[in-house]
Amino acid sequence: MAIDVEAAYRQFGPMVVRRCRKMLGSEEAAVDAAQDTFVRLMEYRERLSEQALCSLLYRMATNVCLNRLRSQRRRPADPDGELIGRIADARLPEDRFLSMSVLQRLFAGHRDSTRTIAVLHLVDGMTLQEVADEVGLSVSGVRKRLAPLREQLAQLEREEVNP
Amino acid sequence: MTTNRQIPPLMLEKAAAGLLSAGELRMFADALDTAEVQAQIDGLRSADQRIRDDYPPVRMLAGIREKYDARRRARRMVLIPAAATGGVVLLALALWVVVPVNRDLREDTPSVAASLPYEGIKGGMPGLSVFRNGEDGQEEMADGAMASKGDVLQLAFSTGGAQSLLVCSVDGRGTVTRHYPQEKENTLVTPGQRVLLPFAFELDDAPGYEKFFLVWSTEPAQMDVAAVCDLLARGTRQDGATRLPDGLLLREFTVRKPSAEEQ
Repeated sequence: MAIDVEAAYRQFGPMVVRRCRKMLGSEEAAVDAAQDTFVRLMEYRERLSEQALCSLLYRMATNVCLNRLRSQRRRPADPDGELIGRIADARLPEDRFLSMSVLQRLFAGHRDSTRTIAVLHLVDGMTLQEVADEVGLSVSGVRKRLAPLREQLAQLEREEVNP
Repeated sequence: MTTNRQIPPLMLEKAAAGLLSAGELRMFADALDTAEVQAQIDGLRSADQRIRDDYPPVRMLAGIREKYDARRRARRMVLIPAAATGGVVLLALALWVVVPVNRDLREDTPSVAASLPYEGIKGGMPGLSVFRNGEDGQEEMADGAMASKGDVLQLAFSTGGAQSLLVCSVDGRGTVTRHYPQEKENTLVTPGQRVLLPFAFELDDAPGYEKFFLVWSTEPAQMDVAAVCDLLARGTRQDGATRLPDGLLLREFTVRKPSAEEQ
């Protein structure tokens, strides 16, 4: 059964706005990104399940914001902003052959990007097991997806210490 | 149980919405009992109301609908010329001749579908078969078999455990032909079915090969047919290697053709 987007907004809209504020650090951009999140939900409402809608919208909002940060090069002023920015900028295997937007379309929004997974774990502080449960992967699958990104973050830290 | 670390924001959101699972409630039981976490949860609920006041749902929903409609209009404008230039229409007219044979064939046509690989059973690997239509009937081709200009081919596949599937081919000139889905963008299929495509193709004089690709996923997710076909074509043109993102699986079937020198 298709997701009732209006009902979903009424229940989870404020949470999505809040998540976008945290990710983008700008009120105007956050409201715009929150709307984009529900536009995506509307586009995929026939294919997505209402089960775990709260988690799904939280991850979709995270992904929408990461894409926005990636394309606009703007960084939130939040204490986590630098890390979020680095995650958004990271070069990942999934970018090698396709743009993220194409990859998202290939999976029609079902697939969480590695960047979203990284934010859940590295910024939000979720354990690998919690992330795995949320995104429907095994712990080793999450670890594998994060490996190239971790390496890049570590490299950046090494460069900062020894410029 | 979690006592000495902060509850992740998603879990707090779920707690505020009363949506923590039994396992999550157990995991965070101690923390949820603390005044600090209860204050955070109450803070989220108050913030929800403030956001609803600042951005009334009716106004936000109108904006969402407006953006959605605008994107649909924009996408339609992009897709129509893209399909006409990169896809089936030009290929059918210029490079392949669509031969109206077996027009009345339907899925599970016994003469051909019965010979499809046993992998057609639900849960197995999907299978791809290529048949050459001749005066004496249809001959199932082996992977790597020779064919030549003028041969009329017809495809069949079994879905196995796939829930999403497409079939395309790339010839020796790098030209892509999309075989399934043919017109609609729907790649979703039912596992455990066998399908004979209800049309055939006459091979043109492109040299070297015609590589058929069956791309599938066990996820019931729509694939972007044009993007996947383009990816396969690029890989084939560059070095013959085919690479797909995680979650997409591939079966290949090659029909060899005379090289340009042999023609």
